[in-house]
Amino acid sequence: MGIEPAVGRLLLRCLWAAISAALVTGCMTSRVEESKNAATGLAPGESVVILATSYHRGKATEEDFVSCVNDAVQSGDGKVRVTPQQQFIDALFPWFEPRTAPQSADALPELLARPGVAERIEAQGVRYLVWLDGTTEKTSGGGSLSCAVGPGGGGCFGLTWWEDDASYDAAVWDLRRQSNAGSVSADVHGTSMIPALIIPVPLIARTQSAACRDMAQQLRQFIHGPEVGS
Amino acid sequence: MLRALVVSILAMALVSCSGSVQVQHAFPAPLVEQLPLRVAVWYPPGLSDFTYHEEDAAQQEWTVRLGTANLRMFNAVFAALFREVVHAGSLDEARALQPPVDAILSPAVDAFELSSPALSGTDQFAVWIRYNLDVLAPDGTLIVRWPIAAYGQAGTGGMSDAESMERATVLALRDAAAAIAVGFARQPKVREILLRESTSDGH
Repeated sequence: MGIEPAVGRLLLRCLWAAISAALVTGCMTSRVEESKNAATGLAPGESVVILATSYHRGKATEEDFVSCVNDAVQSGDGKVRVTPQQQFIDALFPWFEPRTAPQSADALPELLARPGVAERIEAQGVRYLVWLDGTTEKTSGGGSLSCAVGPGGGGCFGLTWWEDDASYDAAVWDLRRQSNAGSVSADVHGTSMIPALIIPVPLIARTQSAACRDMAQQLRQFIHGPEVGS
Repeated sequence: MLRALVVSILAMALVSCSGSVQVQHAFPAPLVEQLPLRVAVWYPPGLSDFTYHEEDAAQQEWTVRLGTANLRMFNAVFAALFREVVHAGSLDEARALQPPVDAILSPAVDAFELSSPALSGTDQFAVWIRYNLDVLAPDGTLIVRWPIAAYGQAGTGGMSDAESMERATVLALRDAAAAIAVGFARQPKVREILLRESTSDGH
C-alpha cells in the first residue's frame, strides 16, 4: 500500500517545518536566582504592579521587556493579578515618575504617609511593587558573511556570529509591610549565528525572551510563596 | 510598473526621513496637598502655540507641536496645586482682577532639544524642555523666575520613530509637571512671600 503523492508532499513539508523550527534557535544558557527577605503571599483581590526602574539611575530597561514580564506574570500556572503599570503611575502621579520614584524600600514609609497616597494604592489593590532593572547587550561577535546577486541568481557564503547577554533583576517591595521582600534575577547568555551556503540559515538565540520567561516564572513563585523559613 | 515601484520606494524614503509629533496625551491631576492660594494664570502666545522644528545631523526632519499639550499639562498641575485658578487673557487682565489674586503665574518655554538614535548612537529618543515659570505679585512685579528642566526618554521597542519621540516628549512634559507639583511649595521665595513661611532653615 503506497502513500498518495499529495500526502507524501504534506509529510515532507511538515518534516521541513520541524527541522526549520529546530534550527532557528541558537544555543543559550540561563541562570535564575532568588533572594527572599520576608514571607510573601497574595490575598484575593490583591495585585502586583511591575515597573521599570528610573532611567535617571542608568541605562533604561527595554519597554518591550517590561511589557513581556507584565504579560507573562499574569498568565500560565500560578498566574498573578497585575495592575497595568500606566494605570498605577497615573493614579499615583507624580510619585512614580522617573524624577520622584522612591529609590529604595526605605523611602516607602515617607511616600505612604503623603496625603492620599496610601488610599490610592489601597484602591488599586496593589500589594507588591516589582522594579525591573537590566538590559540585553551584545557582548561579542565576529565572522564574515557576504551575499551576491547576478543575472543567473544569487546566494550567500560565510558565517557570522554574535553573543547576547540578557541580565535582569527584579526587586520586590511589599507595600503592606513597607519593606523589601527580596529580589529575583535572570541571566541568559546566548550565541546566535548565521551560516550561509547559498541560503543563509539564521540560528538566533532569543535571550531577552528567555530571560522574560524565566523572570516571570520565578516572580510568580516568589509572590505566591513559599514562606520564608517554612 | 517599474516606475510606480521606484516612486513608491522614493515616497517611503521621504516619509521615513521626517517625523511629526503632536502630543495628544491627557495629563493626570497630581496627588499633592493643595496650597491655600488663589492664583491667576496667563499663558503667553509663545507657550500656547509652541512648535519646534529641526533637521538633525542625520538628515531627519522633526516637527514637535507642543502648544496645546503645554496648556493641558499646566492646567492639570495648577488646578490640583492651588485653591482657585483664574485664567487671564493678558497680564493686564490678571493685574486688574478683583478681588486681587495672591499671585500671577506665567510659564514659558525657554529651550527645547531632542535627540534620536541616529544622533546619539543609542536606542533611545530623548527630549529636554526648559521652562521658566514666572511667579508675579498681584501688581505684576516679579517675585521669582523659576527655571524648570524637564527630561524624557523612550526606547524604540515596537514603536515607530514618531511614536517614540512623542513618548519621550510626553515623559518630558510629565517630568515638568512632577517638578512643579512637588517643588513649587519648596521654592524659598514662594514659601517666604506667598506662603508666609520662615525660610531661615534654608530648605
